[in-house]
Amino acid sequence: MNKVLASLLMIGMVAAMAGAGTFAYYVDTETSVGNTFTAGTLDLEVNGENPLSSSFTIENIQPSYAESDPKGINLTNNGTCDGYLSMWMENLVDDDNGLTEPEGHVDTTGGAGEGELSQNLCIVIWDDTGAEVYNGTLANFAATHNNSDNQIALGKLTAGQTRSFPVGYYVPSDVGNIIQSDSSTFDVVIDLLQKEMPHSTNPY
Amino acid sequence: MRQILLPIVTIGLVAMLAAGAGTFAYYIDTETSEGNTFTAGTLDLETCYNTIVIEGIQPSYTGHTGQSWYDGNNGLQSYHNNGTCDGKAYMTIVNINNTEGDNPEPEINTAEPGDLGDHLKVTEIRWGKHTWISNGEAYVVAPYTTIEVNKTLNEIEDVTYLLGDLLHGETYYAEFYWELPNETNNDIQGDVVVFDWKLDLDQIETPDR
Repeated sequence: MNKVLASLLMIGMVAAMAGAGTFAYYVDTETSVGNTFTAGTLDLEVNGENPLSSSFTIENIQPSYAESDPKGINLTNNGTCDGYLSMWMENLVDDDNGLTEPEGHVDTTGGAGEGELSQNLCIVIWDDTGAEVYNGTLANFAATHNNSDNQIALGKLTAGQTRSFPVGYYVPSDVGNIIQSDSSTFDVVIDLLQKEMPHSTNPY
Repeated sequence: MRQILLPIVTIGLVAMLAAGAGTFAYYIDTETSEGNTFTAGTLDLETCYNTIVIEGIQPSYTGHTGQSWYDGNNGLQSYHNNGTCDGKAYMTIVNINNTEGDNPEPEINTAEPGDLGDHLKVTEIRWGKHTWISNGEAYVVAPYTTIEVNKTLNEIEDVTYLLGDLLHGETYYAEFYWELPNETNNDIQGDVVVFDWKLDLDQIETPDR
């Protein structure tokens, strides 16, 4: 009798141990589907070009020469984020390109890097409200605004917005022969920069 | 005398043994407890399925998923224990899909997959029963539990976080805070990351007695 009982007990225990580790607690799962983060874009277009590859060439200027381009520089923000515009110049090179005979009376230097045009050529830049952004010589612009730390600020360009900055340039009448045959070449850098998000204190 | 008595005693004994041997009549009283029942409790998680949609983010931006406003709902995930059993609530970000989306000219890395999930940092999760909602933007407010994460969205895919106890009948809310570090560059422009948020309610194990 004892042996039968003992055997039954053993069978029962083995059965229990075989099921050990298999749990079936209550669980309920729900899923919120399709949550999305999307990054914005910031994309500057200059005069319809993106990327910008054109440059301009203006030739045969002389004292009293005056020209204005009301279209000027057209800047478009093709992205979804607002940005802030700025401009500066790099790599200004003034070449004399030799000395003409009249020039030689007033100019003793005639080689590469020795031209006088940029100090005698004036440029004016307006913003789209008609306010002057810059009015001075090309040389002064390049000396004052020549990197991203001393750039000229042109204000906000919101997503999708186009703003036009008219440009004018002239050579004062009293400049004289010193600029004859001189040339100035330079790079214009226009920057559209996203602003850092202001960090307000979360009250919670 | 002895001889007569003995048989009578013997008969008496035999009579007793023959009839009624083993029949007892002790006092007995019986009571019945009727209708005893075992009923299983229920564990039932209800949620509002609010979809989080946050667009136009840029380097240096920070935010929280409660600020999402989509289809008339804010981005808080609600957990309601509609059953009779207490439970523990969990969340897991699953099924992350990164795509390039728009590729504007300044963006250099335009090869799939998108890069946003690699840079979008989940800073912390907040779990609490109180919220504050205004103009569609919703916050989980104090007192709440903070679960520190400080990992990118891609890094927490399939990682399950215990949020806290959710007793029967209670409703709690969860959201996470995020940031896009300043040094994230043009490579994420226009990129999109889509993910599912798995909400779990598990029964609380009965403690061994």
